[in-house]
Amino acid sequence: MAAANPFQDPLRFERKMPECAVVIFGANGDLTKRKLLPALYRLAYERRLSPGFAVIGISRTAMSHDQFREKMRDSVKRFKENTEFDESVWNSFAEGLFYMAGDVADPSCYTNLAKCLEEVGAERKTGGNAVFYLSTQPSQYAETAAGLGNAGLAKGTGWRRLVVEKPFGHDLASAKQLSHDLHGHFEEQDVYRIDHYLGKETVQNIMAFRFGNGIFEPLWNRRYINHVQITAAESIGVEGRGAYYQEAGALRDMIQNHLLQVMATVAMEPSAAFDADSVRDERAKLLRSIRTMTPDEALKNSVAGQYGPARIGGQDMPGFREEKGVAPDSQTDTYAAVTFFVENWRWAGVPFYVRSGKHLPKRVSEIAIEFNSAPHALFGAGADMTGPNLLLLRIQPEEGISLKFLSKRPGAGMTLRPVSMDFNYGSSFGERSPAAYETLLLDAIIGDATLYTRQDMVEASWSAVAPIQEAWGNTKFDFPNYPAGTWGPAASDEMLARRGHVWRKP
Amino acid sequence: MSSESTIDPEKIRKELSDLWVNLAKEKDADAGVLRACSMTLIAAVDEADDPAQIGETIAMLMREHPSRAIVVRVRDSSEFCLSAQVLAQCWMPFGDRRQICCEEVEITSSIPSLADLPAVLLPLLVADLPVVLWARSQAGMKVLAGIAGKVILDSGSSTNLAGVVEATKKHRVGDLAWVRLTRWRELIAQIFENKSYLSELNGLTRARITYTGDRPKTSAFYLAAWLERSETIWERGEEDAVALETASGEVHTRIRRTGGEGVEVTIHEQVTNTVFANATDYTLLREELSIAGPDAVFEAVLPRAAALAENFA
Repeated sequence: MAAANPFQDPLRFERKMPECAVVIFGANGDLTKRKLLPALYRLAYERRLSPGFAVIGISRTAMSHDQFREKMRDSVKRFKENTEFDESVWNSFAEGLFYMAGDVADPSCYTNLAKCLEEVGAERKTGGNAVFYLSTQPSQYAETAAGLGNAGLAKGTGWRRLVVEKPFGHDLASAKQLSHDLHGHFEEQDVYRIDHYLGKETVQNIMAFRFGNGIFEPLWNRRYINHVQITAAESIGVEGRGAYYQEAGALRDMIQNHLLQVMATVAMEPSAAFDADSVRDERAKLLRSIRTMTPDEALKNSVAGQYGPARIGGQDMPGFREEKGVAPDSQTDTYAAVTFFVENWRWAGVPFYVRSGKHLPKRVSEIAIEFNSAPHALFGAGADMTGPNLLLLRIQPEEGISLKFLSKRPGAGMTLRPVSMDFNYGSSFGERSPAAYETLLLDAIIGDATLYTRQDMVEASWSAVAPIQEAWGNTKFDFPNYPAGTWGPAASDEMLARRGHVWRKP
Repeated sequence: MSSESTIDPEKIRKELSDLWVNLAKEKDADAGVLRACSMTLIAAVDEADDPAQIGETIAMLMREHPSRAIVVRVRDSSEFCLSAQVLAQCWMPFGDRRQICCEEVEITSSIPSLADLPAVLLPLLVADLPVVLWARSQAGMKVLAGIAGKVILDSGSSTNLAGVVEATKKHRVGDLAWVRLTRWRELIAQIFENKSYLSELNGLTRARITYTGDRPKTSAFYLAAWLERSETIWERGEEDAVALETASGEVHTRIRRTGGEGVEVTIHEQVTNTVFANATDYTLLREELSIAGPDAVFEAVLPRAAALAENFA
């Protein structure tokens, strides 16, 4: 066993990264420029990277190391968010940036990479450790993993990890095939499927809130909770990504992955330990407990929507079918709402309403947990009952937690009014919350997979939406069915109304 | 405002209570104000300390460590003098429309009146929450340390650590001079996360510490004690620096300030640059207030550092 670092002081120091190289496939793409490199720079600025940390960027474009550095410099400056750009820190960080042109379909790309890794490893003392980050087209994942494996790069003197971005397949069968292809070269424990939603501080805080406090867990069940609403709303449309989005849709792009993972975090059982396997076991178990809908149930418990043109703030907004790259008769869902049920003792009969959409009135992601009303209306008409107790877990913006309850209005008489007890993440801790990619990159390098999705979780969430995919595939929708800038189709409201519920308007 | 010679804690409590009613009236009636409190923070300061600077430090701390702040200004006077006022520290979180407010009580006390203070402060402590004393005033510390669960002092201006060692015999103590070292220590720890460098650590038997001024500051003694090499060489220089060397003098790791916030890190021949933002009372307290329980590393290092300071020629 290697000797421990005697200088570590976990009480005061942030988690530390071991030495390694991060190899980014698709280094000339948007994700690298907007998210990955700015996140790595921010980690460098905060002295959280190993001194010899290295990045090797790969894409088809021919570029020198210096050209790549220059390009990344511009990106970091533009997308660094609230971190200062410091020339000396950048220059040190940039010394660890390397680039090689290569086509993932060409075996020579991997032999060149092996040589590059060796040289960079010797120069930067990366110890042979490498993270391969696939920021490419999903169709290239299997091919790239095979290229790495065939070149002997999936194993080495140090550890090797493979990070893949969503989508993990487009249905259950393709997800299984992808996992099978990746496992041909990498062990499941070395495959990190990134779901940036799980990296958000407020999503992680759900676990802290549930399992770090003793007072909520006794209420966290069908006896006290009436229903749960999970919303991820975007105020913008597809913004030039029409061609991509047309193949995805809200159900696949948001609900199957991000929102079902969030739902699993809200509803999972407490794990025995806070380690990657234990937490992911519980998440997977919850996802497997989601009731598989019959075709009839799938149509009743889901609503597909597509935004049409509208005039917002004096501006004409095109409908989805008028967006560039979108077919004029597109059947793609830009809005999806689903009622899920979890079949276990804790949640039996409690509806989980999950919705996501483009061009809704505002950008907001939140989880609303509505509790049952008091069993007896003691205060009668004097109670200005605007709703039962509500616990709001706000993911973005204004991250935080609010508890709505009734209180007596001061003065004579017994008039009640709702008041809110708020915890605001930013103002309570005053620190910059790390961006999701900082957290997730750090975790992948440290080898903490808690916030990454595992094969069985991916397959369980595809299984949960499979009946809906099938039902929608056999339906010709009368799109568009909601104007841009509204809260989605009327059918979505009707879906909740059948159970006496109403969507929150966040 | 209370009278100039006595303070009635009940009156202060009433003023604190009225404060929230008035705040709710003043602010947007719909949005209201949010009261936040995670501890009682007593700041014992000398009257000569810049009140604006102390006030600003406390105001900034409130955002991360919302507290009932009690600022005790110790007046260097032989007359009995005790007065108090109550105010609020409020801020508007970005993107929110509701203000968050904390309470602040300012008490001025002459040295002879200090003995009356614990009885005044006890009813003002927030129940069930930690009580921390930030002791900038020696006289204030002597009187008030007994009611705090933790005492934070700063040995930075001392030549030795005897006072800190003495304080630890009676109280849980934090020293801002130790906190000033965190970034240096963290950087060193990070370097030796690399297994290749860690394997070389046993051979690095010598620490070379470069200090500015006539004598090393207490932080430098803490650093030497924490590094725990078999030999420490002290040398005066233009900028603070630390190096880990082999017995034959071969430098493995060297960290040195390069002026301003710049820091240069050299490991073998590899040079990288980073920044250490200037440490202020706010940044140091912010870190120390986050340590709620015992700090085992600090407690282990302190006696060794005190011995080094005492024996420094």
